[in-house]
Amino acid sequence: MNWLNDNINVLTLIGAAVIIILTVGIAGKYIKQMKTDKATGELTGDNWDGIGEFSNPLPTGWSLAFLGTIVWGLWYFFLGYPVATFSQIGQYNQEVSDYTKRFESKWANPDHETLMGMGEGVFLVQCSPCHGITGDGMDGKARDLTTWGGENHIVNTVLKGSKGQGYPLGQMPAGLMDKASAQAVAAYIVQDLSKSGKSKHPELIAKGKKLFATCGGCHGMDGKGMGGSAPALVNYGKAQFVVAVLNHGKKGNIGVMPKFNDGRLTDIQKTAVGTYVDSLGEE
Amino acid sequence: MQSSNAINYDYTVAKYFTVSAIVLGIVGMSVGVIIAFQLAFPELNNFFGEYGTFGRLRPIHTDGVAFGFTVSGIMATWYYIGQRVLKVSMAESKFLMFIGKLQFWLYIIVVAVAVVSLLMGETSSKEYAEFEWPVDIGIVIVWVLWGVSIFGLIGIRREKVLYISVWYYIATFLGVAMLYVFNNMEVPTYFVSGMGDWFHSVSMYAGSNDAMVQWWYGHNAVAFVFTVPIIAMIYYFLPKESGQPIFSYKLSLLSFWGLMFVYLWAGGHHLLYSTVPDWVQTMASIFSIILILPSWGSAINILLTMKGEWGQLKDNPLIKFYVLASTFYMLSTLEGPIQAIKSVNALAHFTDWIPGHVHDGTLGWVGFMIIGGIFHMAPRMFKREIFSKKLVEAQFWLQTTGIVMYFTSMWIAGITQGMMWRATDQYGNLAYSFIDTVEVLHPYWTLRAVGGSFYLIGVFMWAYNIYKTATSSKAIEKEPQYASPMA
Repeated sequence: MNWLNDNINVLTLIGAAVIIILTVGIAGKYIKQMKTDKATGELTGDNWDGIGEFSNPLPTGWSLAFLGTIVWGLWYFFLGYPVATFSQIGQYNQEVSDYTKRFESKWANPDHETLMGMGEGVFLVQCSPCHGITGDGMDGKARDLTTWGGENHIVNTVLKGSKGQGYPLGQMPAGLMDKASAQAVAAYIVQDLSKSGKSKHPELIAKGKKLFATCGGCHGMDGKGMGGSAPALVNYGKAQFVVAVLNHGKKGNIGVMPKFNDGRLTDIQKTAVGTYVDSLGEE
Repeated sequence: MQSSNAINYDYTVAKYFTVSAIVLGIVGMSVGVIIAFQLAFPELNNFFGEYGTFGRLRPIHTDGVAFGFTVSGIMATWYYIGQRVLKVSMAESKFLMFIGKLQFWLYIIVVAVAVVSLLMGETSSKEYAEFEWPVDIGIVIVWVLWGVSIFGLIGIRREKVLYISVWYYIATFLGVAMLYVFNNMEVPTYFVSGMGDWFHSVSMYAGSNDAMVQWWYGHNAVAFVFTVPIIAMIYYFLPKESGQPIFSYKLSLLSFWGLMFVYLWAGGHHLLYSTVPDWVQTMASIFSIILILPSWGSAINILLTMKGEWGQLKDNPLIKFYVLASTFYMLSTLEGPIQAIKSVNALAHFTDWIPGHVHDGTLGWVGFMIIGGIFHMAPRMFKREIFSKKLVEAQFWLQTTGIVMYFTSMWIAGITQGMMWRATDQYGNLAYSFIDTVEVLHPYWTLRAVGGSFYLIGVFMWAYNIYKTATSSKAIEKEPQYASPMA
């Protein structure tokens, strides 16, 4: 556990301990005096409904502490940490940028195992709330990532359309092809275009390549997405495709998947998530 | 000193407010227990449609205990203590008696309207200031009537020097008046633009300014409802019940003015790491730390007043309530400033540690003083012994157990939660999702709800004891000077 390396955690624990120790210690001291000491002093002479008052001096410790905090407060505000010298946004930016730099240099050249471990960690925190901890989409709440990367998934997308990634060429309508044609296109994309896996219907590849003309109108005949105008299908079934979804966000059944390109994930983390998601799906 | 020609104090209004403190205490805290169980078991939201959901019930709990139970307790004790330390009876002024009764019945009407409007979901969406403008106007009228009562009674007093408690009641009146009016400046949308219902309003301030005014109010509602008037109570009930003179006049004076000066600047600590200017946040943190001393000054003064009185602490359950209340006051007023340190707040903010902090103050300090204060008043108001000392003892220990369960579970839950939100895995990614924290915290939330239930049962025991005291306990012939008689 690295939780004691975090100075906020340490300060909080010290703070909590101080609260208990000072309260129990000082209240305990006074309560003990109820047993051991006696009330003494000169009465002021006033009396309200039978209540009198002693004219005892202030407890020394209390007075010194009060004076001390006042002096400390003035010092802090005007000399120690004058207000104009601190910016909370500046501090935030500085800390985030330092952390990101350390992170990026430490994991500059991750191997496959690192990407898988890191990706699983990020997935469980950032993705699993909607996609489920196994990535099965929790009964249709979000995309079932265990089928992603395979041919059925492409067929499904062609039949139902795809929305909400916000590419310049707009949204992909449902029903651009019938099921048989979609299967052929899927075979072509998986085995020939992106080479992310082996098709279960290699005999359909040639037909699919011809039918891909329909897709090429937006995705480009080379499947590269026409310079960012539409998703690059050459990446289908690979980590980069997931990275593209992370950068664009997506409309889903229970809401909109946010864009993750706002600094909350670094490029390395995105690639790691892509690698991990890729491992969940079909070949 | 009591003499044969002692003034015949008239406790009519004090009795009224005692009843409303008990009833609203039961209502407010029952709702509190329900919503605590809802947080642990969300299925419990599903009864009574929209009216039984956490969102509807939460303001009824907070406003119910703050402006119902606590304000009733403040009024009940004022209409009791005020007469006695000013040496003047309400019966001596028909006008003040009329004002007192009018204040009570208007208060009851306003409370009823407020509860119904909150149940209907009509709110201005500001925490602890949820009421729409017609309710706000009612509240202001009730408050002004209280002011007339305070200054009227002071005006006809026989006791030349004002006792410490009276300073604190005056401060409560002025503080709440100022805070409430300025935070509830709102625009009635229907009359300005024709939009919305006639009773609907929006805040006059916007954005960060609204937040700053809101937490200047929110924090100082804690100051002037949960702190200042409760100090007024302890400065009367503890020396009166024990017969001990106050330890130091000087300490009470310095603590009073220290509290008045410092408290009002600390509200910004609710907005650390938000959009309010950095210097406002820094100032709020600094003033929060300085605030420890004037707060502790009062508590220390009270504890030192009991020097040498171990026997009373052991034998008199009311003294136990007061001494433990001042200890919880110390705990809470050290805890708050430490949570207001920016580096600690970075972890503590939005965690369960915050409601933990609120409740060790409200249950241990505010609740115990109102309960213990009314126990002291009851034999004098009803001319009967407290019905059962054993029941008072049992209530004290049950409620103390409840408070300890409440705040320890919330401390552990809150700090765990904050650490989990910050934790990273071996790669440097955030390690936990929201649901991970829910799973870990669930047992603590259950424990909190059980602790709250203990406290609520104690409130029922208190209500029963006071009811029996008022109706069927043994009559007393002569009012005791100090310790309350109990069977």
